[in-house]
Amino acid sequence: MPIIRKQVSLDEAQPGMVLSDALLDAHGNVMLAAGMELSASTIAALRRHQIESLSIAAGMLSEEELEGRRRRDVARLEHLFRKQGGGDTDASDLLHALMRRYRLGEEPA
Amino acid sequence: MNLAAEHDADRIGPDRLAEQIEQLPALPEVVMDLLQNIDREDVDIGVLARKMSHDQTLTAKALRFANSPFYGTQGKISSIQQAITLLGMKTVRQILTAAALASVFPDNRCKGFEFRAFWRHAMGTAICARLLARMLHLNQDFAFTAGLLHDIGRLVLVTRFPHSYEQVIAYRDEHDIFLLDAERSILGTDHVAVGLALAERWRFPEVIRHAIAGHHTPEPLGSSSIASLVNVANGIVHALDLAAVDNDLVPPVSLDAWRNVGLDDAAYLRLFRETEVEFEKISSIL
Repeated sequence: MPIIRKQVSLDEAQPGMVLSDALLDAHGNVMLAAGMELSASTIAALRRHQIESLSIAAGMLSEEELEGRRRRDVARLEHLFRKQGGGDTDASDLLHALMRRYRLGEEPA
Repeated sequence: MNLAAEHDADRIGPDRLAEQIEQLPALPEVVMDLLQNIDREDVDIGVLARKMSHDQTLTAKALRFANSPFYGTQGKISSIQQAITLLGMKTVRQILTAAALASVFPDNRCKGFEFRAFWRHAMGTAICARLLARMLHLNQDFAFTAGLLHDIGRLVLVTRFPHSYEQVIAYRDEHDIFLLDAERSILGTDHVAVGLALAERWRFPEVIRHAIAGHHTPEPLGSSSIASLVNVANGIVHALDLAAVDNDLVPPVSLDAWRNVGLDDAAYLRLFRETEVEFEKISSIL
């Protein structure tokens, strides 16, 4: 999804803001799902749980901007992996392939 | 031109290395204690706080870390006791380790070496290794500290042999090779061996020594799962470009380590995202 993420403190959080990512507790359990819209009462609940900052969706990228960003990210990725490939003794190709999917915008399930 | 002869002065034999490591300031006693007892949580907070009170630089640095958005405390922590109460002993141990290292190896002039990039990479690897440990139900504390310390030998080289390390960087740039290989060509040693020598001197616990020794070539299955985590986390963090070094290279990721970690694709994609999100929170103080 072509969203722009922004980290905000709980004090800056406003009802209507949308979480860009799932909010996890210290054990990695999901407290709030990605895409959830904040309400005054969720913000108050987060404060009770001593959550201090959130990653929110700060806007959408146009298809064109998104395409440009992906092209740039993938080109950079190829540059970083320029000394890898072809070897069957290491896992670099596996990491490279996964990282390419990530940079092309595949969302974690 | 006789390259080998020209670089003779840059060779670092065991004696020269030992001599320089000898001259390094000791880690603050309090940090030594914490590292050597990394598997213990029953640390006497009163004693810890008293030892810390003699080291204002360390205290100031540690509080700066503790108050970063990474820990979600928003500037509310004003003492080490308070940090322990709010964040817990494990987290304070991580904070003190990072703060102490930054004091022992201050920025110096080694042309081409960026301390900020070094710390960004070290902290990124620590964060990624900790997230991996959480997914695999391994000790997150070990993983974080091992990730933070895996390249520590490089700091010894840069601060104790700055001129020689400039040659390493120039050689790397000229040939576009891994920094590790440039170290071996110019110095006759590398940051792994040097890191191990330092780990002996500072009596790091075994799990950390394994991770330093094995972060490029972890031994096959079973030796230390933390070394495997650090090998994989190291590769991921280079690939995520967290240090943002122009001519960076992703080092080979060990197939044994990859199999040891054994996550599925979806878990890796989540890990990449979480590493970026967590890193973002701490990058403002690095």
